[in-house]
Amino acid sequence: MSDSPMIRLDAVTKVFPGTDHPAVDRLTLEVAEGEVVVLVGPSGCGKTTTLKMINRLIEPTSGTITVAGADVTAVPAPELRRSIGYVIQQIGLFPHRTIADNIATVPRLLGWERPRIEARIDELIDLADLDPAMRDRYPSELSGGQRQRVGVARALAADPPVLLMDEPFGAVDPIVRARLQDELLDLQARLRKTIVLVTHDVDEAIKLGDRVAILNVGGVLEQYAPPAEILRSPADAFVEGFLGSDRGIKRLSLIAVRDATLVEGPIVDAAATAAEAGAAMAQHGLDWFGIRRGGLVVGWAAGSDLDGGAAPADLEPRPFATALGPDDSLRDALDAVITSHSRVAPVFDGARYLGMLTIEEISREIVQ
Amino acid sequence: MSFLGDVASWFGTAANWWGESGILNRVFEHVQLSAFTMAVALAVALPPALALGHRNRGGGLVVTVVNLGRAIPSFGILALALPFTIELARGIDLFGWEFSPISSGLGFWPTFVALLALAVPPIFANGFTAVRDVDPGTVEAARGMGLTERQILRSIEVPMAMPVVYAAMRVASVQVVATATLGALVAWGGLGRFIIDGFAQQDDVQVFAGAVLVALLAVATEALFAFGERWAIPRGIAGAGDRAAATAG
Amino acid sequence: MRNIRWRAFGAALLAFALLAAACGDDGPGEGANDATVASNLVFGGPPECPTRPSCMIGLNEAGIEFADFKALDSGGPLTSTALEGGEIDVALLFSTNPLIAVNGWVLLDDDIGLNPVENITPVVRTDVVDALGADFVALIDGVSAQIDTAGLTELNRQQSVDGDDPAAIAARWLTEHGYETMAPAEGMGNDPIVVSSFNFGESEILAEVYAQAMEGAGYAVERKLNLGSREIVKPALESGEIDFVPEYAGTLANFLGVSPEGDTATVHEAISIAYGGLGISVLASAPAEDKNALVVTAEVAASYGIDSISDLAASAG
Repeated sequence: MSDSPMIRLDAVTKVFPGTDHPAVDRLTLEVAEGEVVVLVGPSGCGKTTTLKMINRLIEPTSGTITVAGADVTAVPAPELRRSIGYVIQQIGLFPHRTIADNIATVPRLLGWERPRIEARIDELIDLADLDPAMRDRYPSELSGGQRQRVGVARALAADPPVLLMDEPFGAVDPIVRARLQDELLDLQARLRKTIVLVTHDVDEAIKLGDRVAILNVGGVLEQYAPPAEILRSPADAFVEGFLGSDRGIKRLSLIAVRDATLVEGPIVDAAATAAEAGAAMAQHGLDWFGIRRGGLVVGWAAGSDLDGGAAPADLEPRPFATALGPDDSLRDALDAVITSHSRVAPVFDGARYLGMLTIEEISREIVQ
Repeated sequence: MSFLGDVASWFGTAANWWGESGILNRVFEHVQLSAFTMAVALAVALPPALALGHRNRGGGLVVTVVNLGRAIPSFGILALALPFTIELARGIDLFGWEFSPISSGLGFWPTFVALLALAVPPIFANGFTAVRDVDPGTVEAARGMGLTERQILRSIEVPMAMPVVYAAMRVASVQVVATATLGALVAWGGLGRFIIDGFAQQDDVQVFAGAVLVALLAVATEALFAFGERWAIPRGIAGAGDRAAATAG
Repeated sequence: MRNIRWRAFGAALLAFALLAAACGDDGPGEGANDATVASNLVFGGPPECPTRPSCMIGLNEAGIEFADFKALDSGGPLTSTALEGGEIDVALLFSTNPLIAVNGWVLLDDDIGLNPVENITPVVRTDVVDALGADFVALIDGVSAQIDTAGLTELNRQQSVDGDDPAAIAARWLTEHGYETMAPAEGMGNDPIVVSSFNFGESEILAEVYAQAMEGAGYAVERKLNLGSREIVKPALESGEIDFVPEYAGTLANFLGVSPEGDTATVHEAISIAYGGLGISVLASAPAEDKNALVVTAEVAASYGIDSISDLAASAG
């Protein structure tokens, strides 16, 4: 990775004809190679204008923009755009072309040889986790999520170093959106593209961005930092207000369960006596206990199960309804903990029991 | 014999089929004029309509021209065109170079002018709006991927506009075929000959037979376009044509 | 590739257009034999001409075969424009058409008896004559007596050259000839006389002349002008939809299937008998005649040396 930024905006200003106030005002911003930068802000903050100035769909009024060290105005706009991937909310697949033809758009513009294009189509269909049978289908035959994947595949077709994404997941339902976000992160982990993504959704920004640029109305950059830093110390009242009162909770999504402090919890061996189980429960203030058999925590039993004078060994362990993994965020953990009546959730790494996450531990992270 | 029986025997008379004033020649003349008109109308109206639609410029002008074109009846245009075509046939003097661009100012050319004025407005208007109304997201995606403006128009907007443009061609063609009968008023052949001559000679059978032939030819034109639709409308957006047909009328 | 298909489509369209243009432009005279004067000429007339004894059928019988026939209108503006513009060489026009004199055209002498005497002759339903009596007949006959060919040509000129309105032309003529055109305060209290005309200017002017003369004499009148051809007018007259129309003696005789040959009195008698049986009275004929006439431009007349219809059948030499 070189020291010079992949994308650099230098005092870029855009004033649309017929308006007094600039949409973007002397914006200076650098995006390092291989990082995901999310532009976020309220409507009218110029985030989309900024994005479109990078591939010259909008020409800046003043200032310069360089991509990979070269001024974007050095080559004709269409040529520039062929070297930059572009994904928009409406996706904009060509309805009269098959999925394969849609994906082949930029390679064909670049004059690639046919076998190379065909191979690239196969590669991208695989990369985007699409059914190879979709190759010859038309966009109208696809679901919203599938179309979005094709849109990303199409943008990546000529393997551009830079990807611009304008509210890419704005048009799909929340469940699909979350899955597509995960897929993008997964893809990015493999491809290491330089991505600039625009969204109005703070949660999406926090989830996807290596760095987040918070823009205010009129294209003023309020804060540009990694999401954790922004959540921990908002630059000003605007950022704080924009993040919302649940900024502490939002921060949880950046912390993995493995980084939290876990407690052992009331776990007893299957061979233990009822009294030992009772003691373990009392120690943690819980009315249930976990049962370990052959080194593995296999389930749990309620304190009332011992009422008839039974020993833990006599009981059939009940499986845990909610269990966390080490890669889950504390935000996910919060849901699990709150929905469990005992305010704790067990954490497993595969079959291996790691410990219990308590509401107190999560609260400590929020206020930190 | 009943009237329909008379009509049937008119169609059954070989003399009515062959020769210069026979059905076959009249159908040929009719199709010839209609097809030529449509070809010129498409050549004249589509390129500017598509280009203006791409830039979304001149919408007001389009509406004005089209409404004006629709307001003037074909018969009026025929009457207005006749003196000009007769003048043209007589010869024009172009900087000392005298020549006749057309050999006759009656018949084909004045009718052509009237039909052209009929065909151009719907093709022009629908070509314009069809391109203008192409999904802006698709166009933005195309532009963002590095298609030039010309490539956007040719390979994205025009195919996507095809259902509407095709429907307009279809409507215009049927109108042209039906209206080409007017040509008989200015000594053109075509199927209108049967109607005009039959009327002047008070030969109801001939008038009716002529009207039937015109209707059949119009239906055949419709059918031809319905058949060609599969070929002309890109796959993937087929079916949009049904919606488009309603707006093209 | 779709692009190639579209290019092919465009090429096919263009090829067809060129072919159509080439075919569409084929001029007259192709395949004509050069034996007679007529075979070098294009004839223009009304669409019904080919089926009329007084038009194409009569001409063909006289050995006159034109290079081409253009179906135009009944001696109207289309035919005269076509003759003026050189689209046709011979036109069927009315002999009272003022444009003949204005343009210096040559009216070919009818030496083959193509057209019969064509005196203006008003016809009226007999029940109307019976109801209104001799005064009415005297009024109409008086008007008819004053209409001569020169006067009729002048009336036509006022319309087709000056662009005057038929009603205004008629009113002027009546005033000049001492008729009252304004309805008197005391009407005749009759059922309105429905006055009609054929669908050309002269017929409309004549109908206006008679209608205004009736109104000036106090008769109630209703107009149904520009009705159409004789095929429409005759049934309307018989059914009582219209009552009165200025006719042309010879054409009417032909139409009624009686002989149009002979002088004005002979033809008048023939049509009186034929129409009388249908409940229609034929009033006195006016001196004015308006015949169908073959007209050529001065250039055509000079270059072929023709001044009569029979000259058309002569060898072109």
